[in-house]
Amino acid sequence: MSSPLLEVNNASCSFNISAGFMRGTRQLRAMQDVSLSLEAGRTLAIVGESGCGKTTLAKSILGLNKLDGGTILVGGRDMRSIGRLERARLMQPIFQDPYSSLNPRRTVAQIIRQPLDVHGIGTTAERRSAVRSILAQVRLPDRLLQAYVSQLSGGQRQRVAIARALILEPSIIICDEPTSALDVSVQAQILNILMELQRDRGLAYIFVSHNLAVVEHLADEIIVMYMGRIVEWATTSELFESPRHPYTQTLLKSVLTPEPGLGLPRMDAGSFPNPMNVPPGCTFHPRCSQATEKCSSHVPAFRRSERTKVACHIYPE
Amino acid sequence: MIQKDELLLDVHGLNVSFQLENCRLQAVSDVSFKVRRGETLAIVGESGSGKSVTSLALMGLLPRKANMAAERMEFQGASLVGMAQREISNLRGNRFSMIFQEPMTALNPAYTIGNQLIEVMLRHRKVSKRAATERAMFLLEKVGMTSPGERLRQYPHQLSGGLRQRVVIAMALMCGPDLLIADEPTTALDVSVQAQILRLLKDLQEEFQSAMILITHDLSVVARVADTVAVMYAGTIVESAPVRELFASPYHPYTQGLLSCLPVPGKVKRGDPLGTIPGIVPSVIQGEVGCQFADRCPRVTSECRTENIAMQKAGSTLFRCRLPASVLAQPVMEESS
Repeated sequence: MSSPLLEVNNASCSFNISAGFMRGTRQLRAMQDVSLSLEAGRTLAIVGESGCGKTTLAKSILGLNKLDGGTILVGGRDMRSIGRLERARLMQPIFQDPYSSLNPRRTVAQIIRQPLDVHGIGTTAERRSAVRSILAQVRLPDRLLQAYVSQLSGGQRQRVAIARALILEPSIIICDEPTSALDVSVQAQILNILMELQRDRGLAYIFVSHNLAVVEHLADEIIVMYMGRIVEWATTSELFESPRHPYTQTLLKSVLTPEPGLGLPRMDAGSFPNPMNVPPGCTFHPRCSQATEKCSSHVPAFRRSERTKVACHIYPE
Repeated sequence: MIQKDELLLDVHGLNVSFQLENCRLQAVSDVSFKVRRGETLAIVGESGSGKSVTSLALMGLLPRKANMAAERMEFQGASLVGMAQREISNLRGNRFSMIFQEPMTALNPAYTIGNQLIEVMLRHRKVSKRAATERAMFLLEKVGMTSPGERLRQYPHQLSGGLRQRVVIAMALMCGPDLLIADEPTTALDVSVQAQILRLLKDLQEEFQSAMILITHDLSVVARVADTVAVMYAGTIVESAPVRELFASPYHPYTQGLLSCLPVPGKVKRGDPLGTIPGIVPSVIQGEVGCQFADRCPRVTSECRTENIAMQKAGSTLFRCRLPASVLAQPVMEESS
C-alpha cells in the first residue's frame, strides 16, 4: 500500500505559560498523542470546543509549532527533512480572519502573486497570467486586481486568501475556520468554491471548524478533539448517525439545526475544565455521565472498528 | 399587575439615517413590529441589514449624528419618540435592558463583577447595597455560575468568554426588566455553551414573564428560540411571520435565498453545492426608489426598480415584494447563474 499524502504519528505539543510575575513558567499540554492520516482528494474535519487543541494541530501540521514528540510525514517523508520553501509548495493555510491575514498595504494582485515571486516561478508575464487564471477560479472579477484589501468585502477577502493559497498548486490545504467570520450567504459561496476546487484539483483538506452543520456537509471523515486528545475518529455518516464517545454525543446534542418546533436541548454537562489542570485518566470523566472508577485513573486506548476509532473505556478493547 | 399578552413595545414606521459627507445613508427604513409579554421576536439579517441600528434606536443609544423618526414607538404606552434622555435612561437597564454581543467590551475591565452588577440596581431602585448584593448573587446563581460570592470580587479578565456572557445576562436582569433586547448573545461562544445560554434565556423569560427581542444572523438559533421572525434586508423588514410559517413557506426571494444557503442534513446532499445569493448587501442612499434586493433577485422585473414596494399579506405572513404569493410559492423557473 502506498503511504498516505499526510500522516501524523503520536504528535504532542506543549507551551510554556508564564505562571505570574517572578513565578517561572508552567506547561500547557495543548496536544497529546495525536495521530491521523489524509489521502488526496479527501476532507478531514477537526472539530471541538475552543481550547481543545484543534488550531494547535493545524499549526503543527503547517510547521508553525514545534512538536515535543511524534512525527509528521508528507508523502512518506518526514516534515523536518523538508525545507521551508518546499513545504510551502506542499501545503498552504487559509485562516479564519481575512481581515488580519492579508497585508493591507498591498494590492490583490501583489498578494496573490507574492508566493510566485518568493519561489521564483515563471516569468513576469507567466506570473501575471497565473494570477488572472486563479482569480477567475475563485470568481473574483479582474477589476479587483489593483484594489487594496480594505476595499473588499469579507467574502472577497476570503477569496483572495484562497487564491493566494492555491497559486503554488499545493496538494494539501489547511483551513482554520475559513467561514466563521462570514455571513451565511457568503459562507455558502466560499464553501461551494472550496468543494469545486477539490473536485477539479484533487486537493486534500484539513478543515478545522466548530460549525458541525458545515462539517457534515463537507467532510469525508471527522476527528473530534477534547483537551488536546483525539476522542473519536469516524467517517462523517458514521459519526452523525451513531456517535460513540460520550463527548461526541454531548457535542452533537448541542448542535442547533434550523428546524422550528424542536426547542432547545437540555444541557447539564458542566463547563470546559481549565487546560492548565488536566484531569487524570480520561480527560472527559468529570463531565461524563457514564464515567466509572477506571476512567479517573487510566487514559483510554483507542478501540478500532472498520469505520471508527474511539477512546473510551465503555467499549470493549 | 402582570397582564399576559400585554403589548409591551409597539413600533411603527421607524426610520434612521446617517448624514455622510455627500449623501444621506438610510440605515433603517419604515420598520414596524409589535412585541407582547412572554413573546420572543427574532430580527434576522446579514451584516449591514440594519438590525443592530434598530436595537440601538429602541434603547435610545444611537450616536448623536443619527437622525431618527418614527410614526409611533411606544413602550408600555409611553412614547419613546422625543422622550428626554433623562427619562429614557430611567427606563434603560430598568424596564428594558440589552445584552450586548461582546462580553469583553460590554464589561468594564477596571471594576469587579460585583461593582458593575450592583451599580445598575442602585441607579434605578431605592435599595441598600446589601440588598443589591443579594440580588446580584441570586442572579449569578440563576445564570449557572458556581460560588457567586467569590465571582462578585473577580474582574472580567478572570472569567472565560462563556462566564462573562453570563455576567452580562445577569446584569441585564438585575432590575427584572419587562423587555430584554439580546444582540447576538451567543455568537462569540462555543456550540455547547450557546445551547446552555439560550436555554437559560428562555427559562428566565418564562419565569419572569418578560419579552425578548433576539437579534441574530443565525437561522438555527432563530428556529429554536423565536415565536415570530422579522427578516431584515438593507434597512427594511422584507418578511415577517410566525417561526414555523417562515421556515415552512418563505415568500420573499431573499428569505428563500437565505434558507437555501444553509447546509441542512437531509435537505441538501453532502458535497452538493449550496444555494447562494449572488452579489452583496447594498448601502441604501436616502431617496432611492425600488426594491433594494432587485440587483440580487432571481425574479427581478423592470418594475421592481422603479416602484416602491408595499407589504403584502399571505395568511399570517407579511412580505415586501411586488409578486403575488402564488407566484413566489413556485420555484424559480430559469437557472440563476
